Amino acid sequence: MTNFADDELRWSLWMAQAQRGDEQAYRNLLHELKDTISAYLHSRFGRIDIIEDCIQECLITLHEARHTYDSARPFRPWLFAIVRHKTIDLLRRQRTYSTALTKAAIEEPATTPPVDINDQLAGARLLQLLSTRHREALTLTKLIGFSMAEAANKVGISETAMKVRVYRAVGATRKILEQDAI
Amino acid sequence: MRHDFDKVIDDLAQDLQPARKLLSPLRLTLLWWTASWGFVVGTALLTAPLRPGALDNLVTVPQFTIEIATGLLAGFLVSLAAFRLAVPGLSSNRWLLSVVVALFCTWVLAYVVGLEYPALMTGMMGKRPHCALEMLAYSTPLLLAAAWLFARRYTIRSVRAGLLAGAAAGAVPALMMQLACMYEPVHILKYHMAPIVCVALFGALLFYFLLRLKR
Repeated sequence: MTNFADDELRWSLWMAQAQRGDEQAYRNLLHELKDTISAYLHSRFGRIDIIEDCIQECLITLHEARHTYDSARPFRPWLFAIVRHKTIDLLRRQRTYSTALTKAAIEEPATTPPVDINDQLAGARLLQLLSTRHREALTLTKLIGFSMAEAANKVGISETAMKVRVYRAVGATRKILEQDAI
Repeated sequence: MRHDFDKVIDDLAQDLQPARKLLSPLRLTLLWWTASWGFVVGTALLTAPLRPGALDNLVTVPQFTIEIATGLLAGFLVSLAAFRLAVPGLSSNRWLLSVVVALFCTWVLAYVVGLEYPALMTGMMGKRPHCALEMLAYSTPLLLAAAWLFARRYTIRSVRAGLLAGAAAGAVPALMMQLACMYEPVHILKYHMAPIVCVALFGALLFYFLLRLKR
């Protein structure tokens, strides 16, 4: 079991080596960061499917932005700034993602049994911090994948009101993530 | 959708190239700030000389010195705040942003006060006929240079970065015009300060599209 300071030091060292072209150090770093990002996102959003996409996007972005890390500075603020950014970015683009998923599901029927969304969202710390309205809007549209019209119909509000609610919910999520101690 | 993370990591590791060390935000700001002043002073002096007595006023009239010093500090700090946004994890510097906003307000306020108590004798001396257009023309290359520098980094808050970089790009020629164009607070507010807002908005728009397109 390693502690916070050890992780920080090791990641910083590995990234500095990776910036000089050390492939093995980079591989080790990405493997550890994958687990860290995964734990971070699962503890905040539950065990939902989009987390995997988010981890992949985070890894690719870390790769693209690796030259911006300065080894004289702490590693975690740099890492989690990118993770938060990609998470919010993915949530905003989630509609397209849901459409793509639906299309893929039609073309290739699922072989695994459907999962209960309540099980997936259990322990989602971040969602519990959102107001009921924001949580409902975010869960229906971004996590379950209902269209704005369907979600609005379920809640009993207009589609425009739902769009505004979702926009604000994503903003509130960003604020909570930014205030989060890491 | 299941991801093969081992493969993703393998691919990324194979793509690894040694990275060039980037300048720190402070050094980058100093570089951009110096180059911007060089460009603006050089170009402005090619078109017309400074207002007669402007440099003497800078030394002998404290109110005028304070106006220019406030503008210089606001301009430098806004560019520093902008370039800090080009590095992930440095962006949440609320203290710096508050100082920048306060300085910009003080700078504008100095000219509002100047409507009643001007620092210098107001008049048409040194008037440049198209100073607002000159302002926009000088600030555009500065903004484009900043955008190029941002594109080589990783900017998370692209709109905020664009606003700040635009304000910085507008502040340099605005300050130059305080020395090169006529001194008249209404004219300064309308034709030297207001274009900063236009450049800042243009910067926000430019960065939004440019940095999103890059990803």
